[in-house]
Amino acid sequence: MKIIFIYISCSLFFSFQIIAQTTLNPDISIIPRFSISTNDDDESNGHNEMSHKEFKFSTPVGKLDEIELALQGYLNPYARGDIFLSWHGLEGKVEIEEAYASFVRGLPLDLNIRAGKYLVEFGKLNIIHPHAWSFVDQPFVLKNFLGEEGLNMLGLSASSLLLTGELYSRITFDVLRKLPVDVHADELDSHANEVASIVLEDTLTEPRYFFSSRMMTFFPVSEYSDLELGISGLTGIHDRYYEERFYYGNLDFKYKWKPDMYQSLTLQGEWLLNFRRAYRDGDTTYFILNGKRVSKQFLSTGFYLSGDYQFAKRYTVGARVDYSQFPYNSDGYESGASLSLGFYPVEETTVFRLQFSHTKLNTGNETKNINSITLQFLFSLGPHRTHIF
Amino acid sequence: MKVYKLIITIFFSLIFLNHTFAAIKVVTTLPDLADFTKAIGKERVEVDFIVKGTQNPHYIEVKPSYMMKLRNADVFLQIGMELELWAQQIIDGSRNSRLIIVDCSNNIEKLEIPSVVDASQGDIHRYGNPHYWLDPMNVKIIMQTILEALVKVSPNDEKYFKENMDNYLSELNLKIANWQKELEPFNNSNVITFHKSWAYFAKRFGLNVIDYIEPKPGISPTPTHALKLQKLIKENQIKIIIVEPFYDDSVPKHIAASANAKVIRLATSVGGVPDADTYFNLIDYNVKMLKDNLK
Repeated sequence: MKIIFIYISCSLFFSFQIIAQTTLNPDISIIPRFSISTNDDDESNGHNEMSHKEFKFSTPVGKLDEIELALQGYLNPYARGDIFLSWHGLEGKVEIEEAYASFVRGLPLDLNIRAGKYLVEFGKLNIIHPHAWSFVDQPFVLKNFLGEEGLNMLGLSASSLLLTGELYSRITFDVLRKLPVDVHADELDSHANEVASIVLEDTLTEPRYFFSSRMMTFFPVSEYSDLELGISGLTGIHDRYYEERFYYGNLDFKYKWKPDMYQSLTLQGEWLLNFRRAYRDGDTTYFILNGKRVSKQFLSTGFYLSGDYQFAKRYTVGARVDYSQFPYNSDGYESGASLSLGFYPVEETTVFRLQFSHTKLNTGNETKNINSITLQFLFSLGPHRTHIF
Repeated sequence: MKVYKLIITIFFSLIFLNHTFAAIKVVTTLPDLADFTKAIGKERVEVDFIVKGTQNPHYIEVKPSYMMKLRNADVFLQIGMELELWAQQIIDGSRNSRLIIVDCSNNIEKLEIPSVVDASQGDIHRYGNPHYWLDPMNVKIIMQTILEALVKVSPNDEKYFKENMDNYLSELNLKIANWQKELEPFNNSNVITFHKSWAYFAKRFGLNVIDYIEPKPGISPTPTHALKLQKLIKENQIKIIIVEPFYDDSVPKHIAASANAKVIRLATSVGGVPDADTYFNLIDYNVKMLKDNLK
């Protein structure tokens, strides 16, 4: 009898689920992003002469940077589900860029909870997908300190509004889990010659946890302009073998003036500070002194500052300056400046962006200057939720 | 002991009084809905709105400050019919679980419901043209919806709200008769408008909207389309091109100049022009502008 009851209950439950699935589809959108670019980097163009002075650009190379497929919708009256899949390159494999559920109402203390794999709210730009950037490439400081995919991890996030009267202020805490497979790949290889692999694997396949937090405040500055200020922190074990921890701090701002549909000015910037002790340079090389491994202390920093001015309904001009040291190298740096022109032929569903960039890469031992020109083209199919401010 | 009892009694009385006379907090998307709500609730409602009359309600940036407006609100009124696609993110961001969300398009007789919905048609709305508040007759339906929402929050005030609404609607009936009388000589006048904002208004007051500056809703005018409009204006002896407050009037002016027509700005919402500070003044202004320029 009990078995029959359970069977009927399960059947009813799953039949309702099937009905729900067939009548309530999520919003589906696809955003392909292409680019064609050229540069005068001798090394990447097959020349190794650092002193090569001829101003010669490589043959332009076109590529599919990414196709983003977004599935977004409500799970129930209290929660949303968002899944972003991405393909990189024409033969690239499918990656889960983000997949998370957000509990947006009904929780005590007006908490919002997010769980899954997601871009972490560390700074302002990290949570914004590349198609929504006003430039074609990732700011150097975020690329060098957070990686090319940004800070994107499995985690659990809780956010709450702060009691700041009429001002919108929010604090977010994240517990993040670095995937064991990543730990295995990047740590195991580097230690393979040092420690018996079986012992190392036992140690390093344990998950690592990072902790992140951001506090932000949004100020209406005038009738047509607003300012957002944010401060973020991130910490975690960067070297499991030596249990060494890193600390990141980040200050960010975004100012936007938009008096009407035809003009706007957006200024945005982030400054990041890194502090860590390390026995190796993050790759494979240990720091050796008198035949013994020693640790080094790194204090490095970086920033970007960007401006984007919409001067007609369909046109924007932008500029960005970059400076970044590296997580394991505070002697070298990467700096640059770029100018861009954006063209939106029909609304924001189609974008062309032409960017000229000058990059100076100083590794501590040598300096290299690279000029590059990139034409980006992207379009958006289907309903895609806009990013907040 | 008596002192304690007295303090407790006063404390709970104050809470009760505060609860009894606390105004209902209402946030609306458009200022027009705020105007109607104020007319019904008067001092028993606190009303705020999100979109200024000078802004295009289709494209509003999702700002945290809007979420703060909804954070402590009791009722959120929207036009609906997908005019405010941005509203759901503001509702979610407000974290207000007790918010009553009201779609004022319920019970409205909808116009221009498309048979085909895809982006090749421009920014069309699946459920029809959402600019229904510009027909003053629809205000009666909107106000009934608002009344029901307010009564849900404060049932004890039903009689008061109903009286206020009836007074407003009595005045509205007189106004409608007057507006129709003023525009009667211009019945069947052909006009061109920038966007499809005027379907309900034109139907009520007998205007023929024969084409639009936008080739498709939300799509900027092209040179070919501008040439077509110039020809149309000349052939049909169209006197005016109506432009909403938030659109650039340089293309309409260029078309009008070459075809001997005029460009006039009409307000689509309260606050769209300085004279349109209430809904009555909004329609007064639009009627006067039409009357003056269709002569």
